[in-house]
Amino acid sequence: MRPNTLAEAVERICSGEPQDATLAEFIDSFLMAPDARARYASIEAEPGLSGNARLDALVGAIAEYLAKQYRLGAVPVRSAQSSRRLEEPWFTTTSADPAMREYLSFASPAEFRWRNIFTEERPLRRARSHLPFVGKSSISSTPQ
Amino acid sequence: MGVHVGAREVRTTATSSDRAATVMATSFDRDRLLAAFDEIGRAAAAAGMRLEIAVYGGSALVLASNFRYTTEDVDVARLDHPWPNWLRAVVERIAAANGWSADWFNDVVSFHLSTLADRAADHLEFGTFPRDNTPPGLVVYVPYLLALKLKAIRVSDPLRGDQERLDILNLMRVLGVRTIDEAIAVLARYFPMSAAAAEKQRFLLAHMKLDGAADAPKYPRRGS
Repeated sequence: MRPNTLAEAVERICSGEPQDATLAEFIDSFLMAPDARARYASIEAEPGLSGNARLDALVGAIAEYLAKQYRLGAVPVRSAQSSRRLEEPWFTTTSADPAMREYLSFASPAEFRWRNIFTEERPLRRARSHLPFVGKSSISSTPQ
Repeated sequence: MGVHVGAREVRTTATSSDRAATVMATSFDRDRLLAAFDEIGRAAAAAGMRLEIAVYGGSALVLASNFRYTTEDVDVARLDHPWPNWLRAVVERIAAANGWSADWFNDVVSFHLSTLADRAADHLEFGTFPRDNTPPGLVVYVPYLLALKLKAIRVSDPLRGDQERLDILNLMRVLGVRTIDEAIAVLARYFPMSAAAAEKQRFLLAHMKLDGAADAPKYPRRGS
C-alpha cells in the first residue's frame, strides 16, 4: 500500500519500511491527489516524532516545501516545531567534499535550510512532478 | 519519439482522483516484473495484438542491470490513447493480484524523454513476452538510461540521492564512460540544450562520491 499521508509514511518507516522508498511513494501520492484540498490533507496531520532527528526534520521540511511549492495556501503549523530542526547540519550527500557542502549550503531551499538540512535546489523531484496542477482551489484558511 | 506502443486504442481511464483513491504500491523485483510482462504478453497475443513498449527509470535498471534490484512502478513511453480493454484489464488484474499500485504501469515519464532518441539506434530489445513457446504479444525495449539520469542528476536529493548516484556510476561503467566530458557527450546526444548548460552536471560529477559502484555490471548490448 502506498502511504496516502505523510503521517502514515512516518508510521511505516517506524515499523521498519525503508525510509527513502516510503517517502518517495508518499510524494507520488501527494502529486496524484486531485486538488489542493486533497494535497493539503495528505500533509496536514502531524507525523509522530520518530526519535530519528533527521527523519523528523525532513518530514517537517517536506510538508512545508510541498505546501509552498504547490501553493496550497497554508502550511501545517506543526511542521515548524523546534523538534523538527536539527542541531547539527545535515548535508544530503555521501560526499565529504567541501565544495559539495558549499554548493548544498547555497542551493538548499529555505524550507530545508532553516531546519539545518542542506540539499539540492529542487529536492523531491519525481517523474510525476511536471504534471499540471489538477485543481484550481487552495485552502482558504490557515489551520490551527 | 521512437517506440512505444504498437497496439492502438490505448487509454488510461482512471482519473487523478480515482488513482489517488486506489493507490497502493509495493516495491517489486525482477522476477515479479518479468512475470507481469508474461501476463501482458499473453493477453496481447490473445487479443491478436503485438504491444511494443520502452521502459525507463528504475524498472529499466531492474530488468537490464545487475546493480538495481527493486522499483516501485514501471515507467513506459507514451502509450497511445485510449488503452484497449484487454490492456486495461490485464494491468488492473496484475495490480490486484500483486497488491501493486493501480498505476504501476504508467507513462508519466514521457514528458522527460528526448525527441532525438531513435527507436532503432537508441533502444535495445530486452526481450519478448511471454517467455515460453507461445506466441509473443509483448516486446520490451530499454533506452538511453545514462542520459536521462544525467539530465535529472538527482544525486543529492534527500530521498533517493544516493541511489541515483550509484545508478549513474554504474551506467558510466557499463558504457565505458570514464570522464566528465564523455558523460556530457552522452547527455548532449539526447539533450543538447541541457548539455550546453551542464555546469551543474559537471560540478556534481566532479565532486560526488565515486565509490560504491557494482563490480562487473552486465547490460544487454546489441548483438549479444
